[in-house]
Order: sequence, then structure tokens, then C-alpha cells
Amino acid sequence: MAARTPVKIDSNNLKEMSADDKTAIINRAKWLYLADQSVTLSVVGSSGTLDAMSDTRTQAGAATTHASSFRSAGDTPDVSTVTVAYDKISETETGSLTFNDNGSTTRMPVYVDSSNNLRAMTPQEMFDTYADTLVDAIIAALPYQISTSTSAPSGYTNVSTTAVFTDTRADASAYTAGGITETQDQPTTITNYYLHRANGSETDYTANPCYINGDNNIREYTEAEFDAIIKEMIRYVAVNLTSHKIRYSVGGSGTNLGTGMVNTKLDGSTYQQREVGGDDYRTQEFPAGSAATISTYYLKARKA
Amino acid sequence: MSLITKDTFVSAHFIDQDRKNLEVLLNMDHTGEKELTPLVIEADETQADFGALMELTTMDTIHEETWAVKKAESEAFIATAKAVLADSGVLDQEVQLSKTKLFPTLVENIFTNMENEDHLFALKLALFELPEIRESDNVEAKTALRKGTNKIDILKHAFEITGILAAGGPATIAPEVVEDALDAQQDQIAAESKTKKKAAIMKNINKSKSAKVTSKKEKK
Repeated sequence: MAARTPVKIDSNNLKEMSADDKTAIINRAKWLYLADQSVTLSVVGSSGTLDAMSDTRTQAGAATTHASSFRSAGDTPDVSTVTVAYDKISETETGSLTFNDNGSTTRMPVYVDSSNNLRAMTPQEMFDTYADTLVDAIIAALPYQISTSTSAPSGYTNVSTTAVFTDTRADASAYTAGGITETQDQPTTITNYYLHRANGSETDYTANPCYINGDNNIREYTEAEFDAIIKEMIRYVAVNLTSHKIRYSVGGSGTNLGTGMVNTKLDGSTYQQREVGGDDYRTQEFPAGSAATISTYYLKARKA
Repeated sequence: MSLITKDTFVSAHFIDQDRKNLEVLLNMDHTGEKELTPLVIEADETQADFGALMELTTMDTIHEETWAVKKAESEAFIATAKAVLADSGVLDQEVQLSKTKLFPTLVENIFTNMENEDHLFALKLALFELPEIRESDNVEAKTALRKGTNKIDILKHAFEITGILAAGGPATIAPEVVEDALDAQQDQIAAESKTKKKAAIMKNINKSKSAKVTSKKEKK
């Protein structure tokens, strides 16, 4: 099988479509897909199908108390790491999609074969002609994006105001020597990350392909007729066509969708003492230091 | 289409030690002037965002901005640490440290922990504080300094940038001035040691005095 060049009607003559005509078909099909995606992402409370992400932060060590002297830094429990898993992104593939000629060998666009005859494309020839370029174009258009705001970027719609990942750090200013025994885990939110879906932007065909009608005449598709065919194809391809499926992941290979989600943590600790009433010597280690990047997670789209 | 355009791009810096991820600050339509939108991207040529960034800036500029951000973070941390130390009185003791102790500390820090990342970072940061280095046009040496993996290499590049190696050594201070400074330092050390000896003698005298008083009391 091979890619074909559909014909169009140009000044009442049949003519093969140009590269610009094909690009216009790709652009409109991309919009049709983005507006009605067959592989979708949603934000769930837990157990999303994509890999979980970990937010880590330091928390104070347990406090010590002694009747006559301060315990040394070595004898005071160290700060420790709290890990919170974010498993909130789920992928869903629409089931029961098909793409075929509906029992008619003339449903698809026509092209000129090697014997100079007009012939209708098969579904496989439609895949060979459009699927690869179209899936690449959809992924490059970033069907979803992560951003740090619930307000969606231009051309996108917020999927959920629930953050898919939150970076927290110990709130170093909340720990004071005078407050020993301090609550061990006193976090502060640094950044929330949200999921947004692309709307796509509508474009027109520069020329409509043609088909063979029931009377064996050549007819030009209306825009709506060809929209239905190409949309059915790409929705099927994204879910089912081997090596052309659209799939999402956290990490791994593929095109990054929006900002990376950064997990940061304070990189040090401080030892503090407090004497209470002459016979209660308390010590505790608090989180301190600068923010260090522990890991960066990217939502990715790939052709699978 | 990438969000990074000439209209939105403000600055970019690395956010990790491995230099694999960058934070790009963008001035987007939906943010206020002082509320820039952070976009974290991979330093990966296959990613469209990185390609868009590289059309607007250079890797050297990104490294410069990374140093500036790290410096600001470091200064903020030092200010906080100083405030804590000042509260506990430790800072005053540090200020009282004799200048003669500076060089042994300096030498020890240069010739030990050669590849300690924290040390390397602090050394590079201090060197980039020097206007001769910061404002030098010797991009190659600056890049080599920035990428230096041990202290000697880093210092070599610093000397190269400041022209000390090229000029055959630091000849800006007259030998007699150095000699005078060393004499003065020696006098200071001698004076300090004299004061310490005197204090020790006084301590012993006081001790023996109090011992005598005690023995007198016992006799009575």
C-alpha cells in the first residue's frame, strides 16, 4: 500500500491535489480531532492510569527532652523526608471505533492510478496518505498542556481546577526554637500544576477531494462530508492504528506538553535548643537551607 | 506552537545541578507585569520549546542568569543565616577572628575537598563577583571556569581571565610593600602571642593567690 494523491475539481477539470491542499486537509483534520479527541486525559482523585509523581519535603525530627542538659545534635533525631504521591491523571481511549468503507468501494476520495484510471482509495490507503503526518501534527499542536495556573493558556480549556501535582516544601519560618516541641511536618505550597485541553483552531480546506457516486460519476465532497470521513479516520487511528496511536505518559519519551512539574525540597537542617523552667532541656532539628530540585516530571505525548 | 516567543520571553535559567531542566520566565497576556509565568522545559534539542528558546538567547547567557539566580538565592540564605547567628551571638565571635587566620583557612579550603560540589559552587560564585571576570570578554575561559570540576582548574581559568598568567605572575604589588605587610603581620602574631602569654601568667598568679588564701584559711 502507498500514499495517494486525491484529485480535486479545478476550473471544471480534474486535477491532482497540491502539497498545499494536503496541508490544508491536515490542518482542518487536526482541528476536528482536537475538538473531539478519542484519547483523552482527565483528572481523578487517585489511582490515575498514568504514572504517579512524588512530592517530597523535609520535616523536623522528633524533639528530645532531658531534665539536666541539652541532648547533642548527634543525639537529636534528624530531619526526615515526607513523600506524597500524586496519581491524578487518567487516560481514556474511546472504545468501538471503526474506520472502513461501509460496504462501498467508492466511499473514499479518488486518485489517478498508474494506468491513468480514477480509483477510490481504500481505508489503508487513507491511513498511508494522512495518518502519519496528521498524528505528528496533532502531537506538535500539544493536545494537552500543564501550566501553573487554573486559568488556561490561550487556545486551551482547563480540564480541572484540582491540581495534578503540587510542589511543597517545609515552611522553615514556621519552626522556632521557642516553639520546641514543634509539629514535625509544617509544609507550605510552592506551586500547583493544572491540566488544560487544546481547543484547536478552525481552518478551511483549500480544495475538497472528489468521490465516485452511486451513478459512477465524479462528485466533489462537501466540506461536511469530507469532515465526517477524515474525523472518523483520525479518531480511529489515535486509538487503534499500530505505530500511530496517540498515547500520554508522565516521563519517558515523547513531546513535552507544557511546563515540567518540579519537586523541590529544602537541602539542609538546623539544630535548636530550648530550656523550659530550669529542668526541661529540649532540642529539635528543623528543616533549613536552600530549595534543591529533586525531580522534574513532564507530561508527554507520543506516537505508539 | 511554543509559548516561548520574542514577545513573551523574559529570562531563563537552569534549575538543577545536572543542567537538564530550565525555568523560562514568560510575560503572558493573562499575567500582571510583575507576575511572570514560569515554564519549565527540558534542555533537549528534540523539544520544540528548547528550540524556540535557543532562537531568543544563548547558552552562555542562560549560564550567566543561572549564576545570578543562584547568587540571589545564596545571598537570601546567608542573610537568614546571619540573622539567626546574630540572635545567638555567634556572629560577633566570627567578626573578632584575627586576619592572620584568614590565609591558613584559605589555603586549607583550596587544597582539600578538591571536587566538593558545594565548594566548587562557592568558589565560582566568588570569582564571578570579581568585575574583571564577570565583565571579561574571554567567553571561552569564562565557560571553562564555569564548567571547572576541581578548584585548581577553576583558579587557573580565573588567573587566565584576569591576565595574571599571561603577564607572568602578579607583579602589581611592589616586593617591599609585601615585605612590610609580612613584617606587620609577624608583629601582630607576636603581639597576640604575648597577650596570650600575659593572660596565662595572670591566670596562674590569680590561681596561686587564691590557693594561698585557701591555705591561710585552712591554717586558721
